[in-house]
Amino acid sequence: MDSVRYVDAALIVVVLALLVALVTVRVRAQRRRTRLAVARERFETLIAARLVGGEGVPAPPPADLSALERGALRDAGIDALVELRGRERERVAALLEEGGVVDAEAQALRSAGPDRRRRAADVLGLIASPATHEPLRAALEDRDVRVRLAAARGLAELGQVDDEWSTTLIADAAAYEHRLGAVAELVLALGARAPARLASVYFNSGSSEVRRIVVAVIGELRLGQHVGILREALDGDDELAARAARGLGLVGDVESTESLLAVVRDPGRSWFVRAAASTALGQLGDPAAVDALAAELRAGEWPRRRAAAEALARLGPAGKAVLRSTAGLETEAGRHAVAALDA
Amino acid sequence: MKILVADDSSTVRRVVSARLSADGHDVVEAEDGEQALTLARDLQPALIVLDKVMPKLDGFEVVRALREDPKTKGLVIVMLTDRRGEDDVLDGLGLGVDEYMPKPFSPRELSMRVDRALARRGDG
Repeated sequence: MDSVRYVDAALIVVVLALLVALVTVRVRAQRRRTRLAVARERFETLIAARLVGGEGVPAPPPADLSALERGALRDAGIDALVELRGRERERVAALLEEGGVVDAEAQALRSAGPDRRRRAADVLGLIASPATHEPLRAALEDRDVRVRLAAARGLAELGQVDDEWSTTLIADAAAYEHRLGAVAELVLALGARAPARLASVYFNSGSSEVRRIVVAVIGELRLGQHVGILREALDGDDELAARAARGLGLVGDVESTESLLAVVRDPGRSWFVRAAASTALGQLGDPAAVDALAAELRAGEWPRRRAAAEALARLGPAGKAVLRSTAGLETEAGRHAVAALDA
Repeated sequence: MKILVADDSSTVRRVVSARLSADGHDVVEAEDGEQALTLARDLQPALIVLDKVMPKLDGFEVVRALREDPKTKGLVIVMLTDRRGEDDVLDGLGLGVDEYMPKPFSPRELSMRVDRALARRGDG
Protein backbone atom coordinates (compact mmCIF):
# COMPACT_ATOMS: atom_id res chain seq x y z
CA MET A 1 0.00 0.00 0.00
CA ASP A 2 2.84 2.37 0.89
CA SER A 3 4.47 1.89 -2.49
CA VAL A 4 1.17 2.74 -4.23
CA ARG A 5 0.92 5.95 -2.18
CA TYR A 6 4.48 6.85 -3.12
CA VAL A 7 3.73 6.36 -6.81
CA ASP A 8 0.58 8.48 -6.53
CA ALA A 9 2.49 11.22 -4.73
CA ALA A 10 5.28 11.12 -7.29
CA LEU A 11 2.76 11.39 -10.14
CA ILE A 12 1.09 14.36 -8.46
CA VAL A 13 4.47 16.05 -8.04
CA VAL A 14 5.34 15.44 -11.71
CA VAL A 15 1.98 16.78 -12.91
CA LEU A 16 2.30 19.84 -10.69
CA ALA A 17 5.85 20.46 -11.92
CA LEU A 18 4.66 20.24 -15.51
CA LEU A 19 1.81 22.64 -14.79
CA VAL A 20 4.17 25.12 -13.16
CA ALA A 21 6.57 24.85 -16.10
CA LEU A 22 3.72 25.37 -18.56
CA VAL A 23 2.37 28.38 -16.71
CA THR A 24 5.88 29.84 -16.44
CA VAL A 25 6.47 29.47 -20.18
CA ARG A 26 3.12 31.06 -20.98
CA VAL A 27 3.64 33.94 -18.57
CA ARG A 28 7.11 34.60 -19.99
CA ALA A 29 5.78 34.53 -23.55
CA GLN A 30 2.97 36.90 -22.60
CA ARG A 31 5.43 39.26 -20.89
CA ARG A 32 7.64 39.20 -23.97
CA ARG A 33 4.67 39.99 -26.24
CA THR A 34 3.69 42.86 -23.96
CA ARG A 35 7.24 44.26 -23.89
CA LEU A 36 7.42 43.92 -27.67
CA ALA A 37 4.08 45.73 -28.15
CA VAL A 38 5.16 48.55 -25.81
CA ALA A 39 8.52 48.89 -27.59
CA ARG A 40 6.84 48.79 -30.97
CA GLU A 41 4.43 51.57 -30.02
CA ARG A 42 7.30 53.64 -28.64
CA PHE A 43 9.28 53.31 -31.87
CA GLU A 44 6.31 53.96 -34.13
CA THR A 45 5.78 57.20 -32.22
CA LEU A 46 9.49 58.00 -32.49
CA ILE A 47 9.46 57.37 -36.26
CA ALA A 48 6.41 59.58 -36.72
CA ALA A 49 8.07 62.33 -34.64
CA ARG A 50 11.29 62.02 -36.66
CA LEU A 51 9.37 62.41 -39.90
CA VAL A 52 7.89 65.67 -38.70
CA GLY A 53 10.80 67.00 -36.63
CA GLY A 54 13.79 65.74 -38.67
CA GLU A 55 17.19 65.28 -37.00
CA GLY A 56 15.95 67.26 -33.99
CA VAL A 57 14.35 64.01 -32.84
CA PRO A 58 17.30 61.73 -31.96
CA ALA A 59 17.45 57.96 -32.28
CA PRO A 60 17.99 55.95 -29.09
CA PRO A 61 21.71 55.21 -28.54
CA PRO A 62 22.33 51.60 -29.71
CA ALA A 63 23.95 50.69 -26.38
CA ASP A 64 20.71 51.54 -24.56
CA LEU A 65 18.62 49.06 -26.56
CA SER A 66 18.05 45.42 -25.67
CA ALA A 67 17.91 42.85 -28.48
CA LEU A 68 14.11 42.81 -28.16
CA GLU A 69 13.92 46.59 -28.41
CA ARG A 70 16.26 46.71 -31.39
CA GLY A 71 14.07 44.09 -33.10
CA ALA A 72 11.00 46.22 -32.43
CA LEU A 73 12.75 49.31 -33.84
CA ARG A 74 13.77 47.31 -36.91
CA ASP A 75 10.25 45.95 -37.52
CA ALA A 76 8.54 49.31 -37.00
CA GLY A 77 11.12 50.94 -39.27
CA ILE A 78 10.71 48.35 -42.02
CA ASP A 79 6.93 48.75 -41.93
CA ALA A 80 7.38 52.50 -42.35
CA LEU A 81 10.00 52.16 -45.10
CA VAL A 82 7.75 50.10 -47.36
CA GLU A 83 5.01 52.73 -47.07
CA LEU A 84 7.17 55.81 -47.60
CA ARG A 85 9.20 57.41 -50.35
CA GLY A 86 11.40 60.47 -50.80
CA ARG A 87 12.98 62.46 -47.98
CA GLU A 88 10.80 60.87 -45.31
CA ARG A 89 11.98 57.42 -46.32
CA GLU A 90 15.58 58.58 -45.98
CA ARG A 91 14.81 59.94 -42.51
CA VAL A 92 13.52 56.55 -41.34
CA ALA A 93 16.57 54.79 -42.84
CA ALA A 94 18.87 57.23 -41.03
CA LEU A 95 17.00 56.61 -37.77
CA LEU A 96 17.51 52.85 -38.13
CA GLU A 97 21.18 53.39 -38.85
CA GLU A 98 21.63 55.63 -35.79
CA GLY A 99 19.74 53.13 -33.62
CA GLY A 100 22.23 50.39 -34.52
CA VAL A 101 19.86 48.33 -36.68
CA VAL A 102 22.18 48.33 -39.72
CA ASP A 103 25.15 47.19 -37.63
CA ALA A 104 23.05 44.48 -35.94
CA GLU A 105 21.79 43.15 -39.27
CA ALA A 106 25.29 43.27 -40.80
CA GLN A 107 26.40 41.19 -37.83
CA ALA A 108 23.49 38.80 -38.42
CA LEU A 109 24.79 38.22 -41.97
CA ARG A 110 27.60 36.28 -40.30
CA SER A 111 25.31 34.14 -38.13
CA ALA A 112 25.07 30.36 -38.50
CA GLY A 113 21.41 30.09 -39.51
CA PRO A 114 20.70 30.67 -43.23
CA ASP A 115 17.18 31.95 -42.48
CA ARG A 116 18.55 34.63 -40.16
CA ARG A 117 21.18 35.58 -42.75
CA ARG A 118 18.55 35.83 -45.48
CA ARG A 119 16.31 37.92 -43.24
CA ALA A 120 19.28 40.22 -42.52
CA ALA A 121 19.95 40.61 -46.26
CA ASP A 122 16.27 41.41 -46.84
CA VAL A 123 16.27 44.01 -44.07
CA LEU A 124 19.47 45.68 -45.27
CA GLY A 125 18.12 45.75 -48.83
CA LEU A 126 14.96 47.45 -47.59
CA ILE A 127 16.84 50.01 -45.50
CA ALA A 128 18.95 50.76 -48.59
CA SER A 129 21.13 53.43 -47.01
CA PRO A 130 24.79 53.81 -48.11
CA ALA A 131 25.91 51.94 -44.98
CA THR A 132 24.18 48.79 -46.23
CA HIS A 133 26.24 48.50 -49.47
CA GLU A 134 29.30 46.86 -47.99
CA PRO A 135 27.58 44.13 -45.95
CA LEU A 136 25.29 43.33 -48.90
CA ARG A 137 28.25 43.02 -51.25
CA ALA A 138 29.92 40.67 -48.78
CA ALA A 139 26.72 38.59 -48.64
CA LEU A 140 26.99 37.94 -52.40
CA GLU A 141 29.62 35.38 -51.41
CA ASP A 142 27.35 33.62 -48.89
CA ARG A 143 27.25 29.81 -49.09
CA ASP A 144 23.42 29.80 -49.28
CA VAL A 145 21.92 30.84 -52.61
CA ARG A 146 18.84 32.35 -50.92
CA VAL A 147 21.06 34.73 -48.98
CA ARG A 148 22.99 35.59 -52.15
CA LEU A 149 19.75 36.30 -54.00
CA ALA A 150 18.37 38.47 -51.18
CA ALA A 151 21.63 40.44 -51.07
CA ALA A 152 21.63 40.82 -54.85
CA ARG A 153 18.06 42.09 -54.82
CA GLY A 154 18.98 44.62 -52.13
CA LEU A 155 21.93 45.84 -54.21
CA ALA A 156 19.74 45.98 -57.31
CA GLU A 157 17.23 48.12 -55.40
CA LEU A 158 20.14 50.40 -54.54
CA GLY A 159 21.24 50.54 -58.18
CA GLN A 160 24.53 48.88 -57.13
CA VAL A 161 24.64 46.37 -59.96
CA ASP A 162 27.53 44.97 -61.88
CA ASP A 163 27.15 42.72 -64.85
CA GLU A 164 29.19 39.83 -63.55
CA TRP A 165 27.25 39.01 -60.42
CA SER A 166 23.82 39.83 -61.79
CA THR A 167 24.22 37.37 -64.65
CA THR A 168 26.05 34.54 -62.95
CA LEU A 169 23.99 34.65 -59.78
CA ILE A 170 20.67 34.50 -61.60
CA ALA A 171 21.79 31.73 -63.93
CA ASP A 172 23.32 29.74 -61.08
CA ALA A 173 20.27 30.09 -58.86
CA ALA A 174 17.79 29.18 -61.56
CA ALA A 175 19.76 26.24 -62.90
CA TYR A 176 20.62 24.56 -59.63
CA GLU A 177 18.34 25.77 -56.90
CA HIS A 178 15.01 26.42 -58.57
CA ARG A 179 14.45 29.53 -56.52
CA LEU A 180 12.36 31.11 -59.22
CA GLY A 181 10.35 33.36 -56.90
CA ALA A 182 13.54 34.93 -55.58
CA VAL A 183 14.97 35.09 -59.11
CA ALA A 184 11.82 36.89 -60.29
CA GLU A 185 12.14 39.43 -57.46
CA LEU A 186 15.75 40.05 -58.40
CA VAL A 187 15.00 40.42 -62.12
CA LEU A 188 12.17 42.81 -61.27
CA ALA A 189 14.53 44.90 -59.12
CA LEU A 190 17.11 44.90 -61.91
CA GLY A 191 14.46 45.93 -64.42
CA ALA A 192 13.35 48.81 -62.21
CA ARG A 193 16.80 50.06 -61.16
CA ALA A 194 19.27 48.87 -63.79
CA PRO A 195 17.24 47.90 -66.88
CA ALA A 196 20.26 47.82 -69.20
CA ARG A 197 21.49 44.73 -67.31
CA LEU A 198 18.52 42.65 -68.38
CA ALA A 199 19.98 42.09 -71.85
CA SER A 200 23.05 40.31 -70.50
CA VAL A 201 20.90 38.26 -68.13
CA TYR A 202 18.68 37.18 -71.04
CA PHE A 203 21.47 36.35 -73.47
CA ASN A 204 23.86 34.73 -70.99
CA SER A 205 21.42 32.67 -68.97
CA GLY A 206 21.28 29.01 -69.82
CA SER A 207 17.87 28.73 -68.16
CA SER A 208 14.65 28.98 -70.16
CA GLU A 209 12.86 29.88 -66.92
CA VAL A 210 15.10 32.89 -66.40
CA ARG A 211 14.58 34.04 -69.98
CA ARG A 212 10.80 33.80 -69.47
CA ILE A 213 11.05 35.88 -66.31
CA VAL A 214 13.18 38.51 -68.08
CA VAL A 215 10.72 38.75 -70.96
CA ALA A 216 7.77 39.08 -68.58
CA VAL A 217 9.54 41.83 -66.63
CA ILE A 218 10.42 43.73 -69.82
CA GLY A 219 6.75 43.75 -70.75
CA GLU A 220 5.36 44.58 -67.31
CA LEU A 221 7.82 47.46 -66.84
CA ARG A 222 7.29 48.62 -70.47
CA LEU A 223 11.04 48.66 -71.11
CA GLY A 224 10.92 49.80 -74.75
CA GLN A 225 14.72 49.67 -75.06
CA HIS A 226 14.49 45.87 -74.94
CA VAL A 227 11.90 45.48 -77.68
CA GLY A 228 14.48 43.48 -79.69
CA ILE A 229 14.47 40.80 -77.00
CA LEU A 230 10.67 40.61 -77.12
CA ARG A 231 10.70 40.27 -80.92
CA GLU A 232 13.25 37.48 -80.74
CA ALA A 233 11.40 35.73 -77.91
CA LEU A 234 8.23 35.66 -80.02
CA ASP A 235 9.92 32.88 -82.04
CA GLY A 236 10.77 30.91 -78.90
CA ASP A 237 8.92 28.14 -77.11
CA ASP A 238 5.23 28.69 -76.37
CA GLU A 239 5.73 29.85 -72.77
CA LEU A 240 8.33 32.39 -73.88
CA ALA A 241 6.36 33.47 -76.95
CA ALA A 242 3.17 34.12 -74.93
CA ARG A 243 5.07 36.41 -72.56
CA ALA A 244 6.77 38.11 -75.50
CA ALA A 245 3.44 38.71 -77.26
CA ARG A 246 2.01 40.22 -74.07
CA GLY A 247 5.10 42.38 -73.70
CA LEU A 248 4.95 43.65 -77.29
CA GLY A 249 1.39 44.79 -76.68
CA LEU A 250 2.28 46.47 -73.39
CA VAL A 251 5.34 48.19 -74.87
CA GLY A 252 3.27 49.24 -77.91
CA ASP A 253 5.64 47.97 -80.59
CA VAL A 254 3.60 48.68 -83.76
CA GLU A 255 6.36 47.22 -85.93
CA SER A 256 5.51 43.78 -84.52
CA THR A 257 1.99 43.76 -85.95
CA GLU A 258 2.90 41.39 -88.81
CA SER A 259 4.76 39.00 -86.50
CA LEU A 260 1.86 38.90 -84.08
CA LEU A 261 -0.60 38.28 -86.93
CA ALA A 262 1.55 35.34 -88.01
CA VAL A 263 1.34 33.93 -84.48
CA VAL A 264 -2.44 34.35 -84.35
CA ARG A 265 -2.79 32.45 -87.64
CA ASP A 266 -0.26 29.73 -86.80
CA PRO A 267 -2.10 26.44 -86.08
CA GLY A 268 1.12 25.01 -84.66
CA ARG A 269 1.02 27.46 -81.74
CA SER A 270 -0.74 26.73 -78.44
CA TRP A 271 -4.04 28.45 -77.75
CA PHE A 272 -2.57 30.65 -75.02
CA VAL A 273 0.11 32.03 -77.35
CA ARG A 274 -2.48 32.85 -80.01
CA ALA A 275 -4.76 34.46 -77.40
CA ALA A 276 -1.84 36.56 -76.07
CA ALA A 277 -1.02 37.68 -79.61
CA SER A 278 -4.67 38.70 -80.17
CA THR A 279 -4.64 40.75 -76.98
CA ALA A 280 -1.41 42.45 -78.08
CA LEU A 281 -2.90 43.27 -81.49
CA GLY A 282 -5.81 44.95 -79.72
CA GLN A 283 -3.36 47.02 -77.68
CA LEU A 284 -1.42 48.03 -80.79
CA GLY A 285 -4.65 49.18 -82.44
CA ASP A 286 -3.78 48.52 -86.10
CA PRO A 287 -7.00 47.90 -88.13
CA ALA A 288 -4.95 45.56 -90.36
CA ALA A 289 -5.55 42.93 -87.65
CA VAL A 290 -9.35 42.97 -88.04
CA ASP A 291 -9.66 40.03 -90.48
CA ALA A 292 -7.39 37.71 -88.48
CA LEU A 293 -9.18 38.58 -85.24
CA ALA A 294 -12.59 38.09 -86.87
CA ALA A 295 -11.48 34.56 -87.80
CA GLU A 296 -10.34 34.01 -84.19
CA LEU A 297 -13.89 34.70 -82.99
CA ARG A 298 -14.72 31.23 -84.34
CA ALA A 299 -11.74 29.53 -82.68
CA GLY A 300 -12.25 26.28 -80.80
CA GLU A 301 -10.90 27.53 -77.44
CA TRP A 302 -12.88 30.18 -75.56
CA PRO A 303 -9.82 32.15 -74.34
CA ARG A 304 -8.90 32.73 -78.01
CA ARG A 305 -12.46 33.82 -78.84
CA ARG A 306 -12.64 36.15 -75.86
CA ALA A 307 -9.18 37.67 -76.52
CA ALA A 308 -10.15 38.28 -80.16
CA ALA A 309 -13.46 39.90 -79.21
CA GLU A 310 -11.80 42.19 -76.67
CA ALA A 311 -9.09 43.09 -79.16
CA LEU A 312 -11.64 43.89 -81.89
CA ALA A 313 -13.40 46.25 -79.48
CA ARG A 314 -10.15 48.25 -79.33
CA LEU A 315 -9.66 48.47 -83.10
CA GLY A 316 -12.04 51.34 -83.75
CA PRO A 317 -15.03 51.35 -86.14
CA ALA A 318 -13.81 48.43 -88.27
CA GLY A 319 -13.39 46.16 -85.23
CA LYS A 320 -16.69 47.20 -83.68
CA ALA A 321 -18.49 46.60 -86.99
CA VAL A 322 -17.31 42.99 -86.94
CA LEU A 323 -18.47 42.61 -83.34
CA ARG A 324 -21.91 44.12 -84.09
CA SER A 325 -22.44 41.83 -87.06
CA THR A 326 -21.43 38.83 -84.93
CA ALA A 327 -23.39 39.88 -81.86
CA GLY A 328 -26.70 38.91 -83.44
CA LEU A 329 -25.64 35.28 -83.88
CA GLU A 330 -26.76 32.60 -81.41
CA THR A 331 -23.24 31.23 -81.20
CA GLU A 332 -20.29 31.34 -78.81
CA ALA A 333 -18.75 34.02 -81.04
CA GLY A 334 -21.95 36.05 -80.73
CA ARG A 335 -21.87 35.87 -76.95
CA HIS A 336 -18.22 36.97 -76.82
CA ALA A 337 -19.03 39.83 -79.21
CA VAL A 338 -21.90 41.03 -77.00
CA ALA A 339 -19.69 40.90 -73.91
CA ALA A 340 -16.90 42.85 -75.64
CA LEU A 341 -19.31 45.52 -76.88
CA ASP A 342 -20.84 45.87 -73.39
CA ALA A 343 -17.48 46.15 -71.61
CA MET B 1 -9.80 71.17 -38.89
CA LYS B 2 -10.95 67.70 -37.76
CA ILE B 3 -9.50 64.91 -39.90
CA LEU B 4 -10.15 61.17 -39.69
CA VAL B 5 -7.30 58.81 -40.65
CA ALA B 6 -8.47 55.26 -41.46
CA ASP B 7 -5.82 52.62 -42.13
CA ASP B 8 -5.29 49.12 -40.75
CA SER B 9 -1.54 49.75 -40.45
CA SER B 10 -0.69 51.36 -37.10
CA THR B 11 2.54 52.65 -38.66
CA VAL B 12 0.70 54.50 -41.41
CA ARG B 13 -1.85 55.88 -38.94
CA ARG B 14 0.88 57.26 -36.70
CA VAL B 15 2.92 58.72 -39.57
CA VAL B 16 -0.09 60.41 -41.17
CA SER B 17 -1.48 61.59 -37.83
CA ALA B 18 1.86 63.09 -36.81
CA ARG B 19 2.17 64.96 -40.12
CA LEU B 20 -1.39 66.31 -40.08
CA SER B 21 -1.27 67.16 -36.35
CA ALA B 22 1.93 69.13 -37.00
CA ASP B 23 -0.03 71.03 -39.67
CA GLY B 24 -2.49 72.07 -36.96
CA HIS B 25 -5.29 69.59 -37.65
CA ASP B 26 -7.22 67.70 -35.01
CA VAL B 27 -6.69 64.05 -35.98
CA VAL B 28 -8.79 61.01 -35.05
CA GLU B 29 -7.79 57.44 -36.06
CA ALA B 30 -9.78 54.40 -37.20
CA GLU B 31 -8.27 50.95 -37.76
CA ASP B 32 -10.90 49.40 -40.02
CA GLY B 33 -13.63 50.42 -42.44
CA GLU B 34 -16.50 49.88 -40.04
CA GLN B 35 -14.92 52.07 -37.36
CA ALA B 36 -14.13 54.69 -39.99
CA LEU B 37 -17.77 54.86 -41.04
CA THR B 38 -19.01 55.10 -37.45
CA LEU B 39 -16.52 57.83 -36.53
CA ALA B 40 -17.22 59.75 -39.72
CA ARG B 41 -20.95 59.78 -38.91
CA ASP B 42 -20.44 60.62 -35.24
CA LEU B 43 -17.66 63.20 -35.47
CA GLN B 44 -18.44 64.79 -38.86
CA PRO B 45 -14.78 65.50 -39.76
CA ALA B 46 -13.96 67.87 -42.62
CA LEU B 47 -11.81 65.26 -44.36
CA ILE B 48 -11.00 61.56 -44.22
CA VAL B 49 -7.70 59.95 -45.27
CA LEU B 50 -8.83 56.47 -46.23
CA ASP B 51 -6.97 53.27 -47.04
CA LYS B 52 -8.37 51.14 -49.87
CA VAL B 53 -7.74 47.69 -48.41
CA MET B 54 -9.08 47.42 -44.84
CA PRO B 55 -10.73 44.77 -42.67
CA LYS B 56 -14.51 44.64 -42.18
CA LEU B 57 -15.33 47.29 -44.80
CA ASP B 58 -13.23 47.95 -47.90
CA GLY B 59 -12.27 51.59 -48.62
CA PHE B 60 -14.56 51.80 -51.65
CA GLU B 61 -17.49 50.49 -49.59
CA VAL B 62 -16.81 53.20 -47.03
CA VAL B 63 -16.76 55.85 -49.78
CA ARG B 64 -20.05 54.55 -51.18
CA ALA B 65 -21.70 54.61 -47.73
CA LEU B 66 -20.36 58.09 -46.95
CA ARG B 67 -21.61 59.50 -50.24
CA GLU B 68 -25.08 57.97 -49.75
CA ASP B 69 -25.51 59.41 -46.25
CA PRO B 70 -26.76 63.04 -46.24
CA LYS B 71 -24.75 63.66 -43.05
CA THR B 72 -21.43 62.69 -44.65
CA LYS B 73 -21.86 63.11 -48.39
CA GLY B 74 -19.96 66.42 -48.40
CA LEU B 75 -16.94 64.96 -46.58
CA VAL B 76 -13.64 65.43 -48.45
CA ILE B 77 -12.07 62.03 -49.16
CA VAL B 78 -8.37 61.40 -49.82
CA MET B 79 -7.68 57.79 -50.70
CA LEU B 80 -4.29 56.45 -49.73
CA THR B 81 -3.61 53.01 -51.13
CA ASP B 82 -1.07 50.67 -52.60
CA ARG B 83 -3.39 49.82 -55.49
CA ARG B 84 -1.88 51.74 -58.42
CA GLY B 85 -3.94 50.32 -61.27
CA GLU B 86 -5.60 52.80 -63.55
CA ASP B 87 -8.95 51.05 -63.09
CA ASP B 88 -8.74 51.40 -59.30
CA VAL B 89 -8.01 55.11 -59.59
CA LEU B 90 -10.88 55.61 -62.02
CA ASP B 91 -13.25 53.54 -59.85
CA GLY B 92 -12.28 55.62 -56.82
CA LEU B 93 -12.69 58.92 -58.59
CA GLY B 94 -15.98 57.70 -60.06
CA LEU B 95 -17.27 56.97 -56.56
CA GLY B 96 -16.45 60.48 -55.43
CA VAL B 97 -12.91 60.27 -54.04
CA ASP B 98 -11.44 63.80 -54.11
CA GLU B 99 -7.74 62.89 -54.14
CA TYR B 100 -5.97 59.62 -54.87
CA MET B 101 -2.49 58.93 -53.49
CA PRO B 102 -0.59 55.71 -54.20
CA LYS B 103 1.69 54.09 -51.63
CA PRO B 104 4.60 54.34 -51.09
CA PHE B 105 3.79 57.95 -50.35
CA SER B 106 5.36 61.13 -49.09
CA PRO B 107 3.66 62.52 -45.96
CA ARG B 108 4.64 66.04 -47.07
CA GLU B 109 2.88 65.51 -50.39
CA LEU B 110 -0.13 64.08 -48.56
CA SER B 111 -0.20 67.19 -46.38
CA MET B 112 -0.24 69.40 -49.48
CA ARG B 113 -2.97 67.35 -51.10
CA VAL B 114 -5.07 67.53 -47.94
CA ASP B 115 -4.71 71.33 -47.89
CA ARG B 116 -5.55 71.53 -51.59
CA ALA B 117 -8.63 69.32 -51.24
CA LEU B 118 -9.87 71.34 -48.26
CA ALA B 119 -9.27 74.61 -50.10
CA ARG B 120 -11.29 73.36 -53.08
CA ARG B 121 -14.19 72.66 -50.73
CA GLY B 122 -13.77 76.08 -49.16
CA ASP B 123 -12.65 74.67 -45.79
CA GLY B 124 -8.92 75.32 -46.05
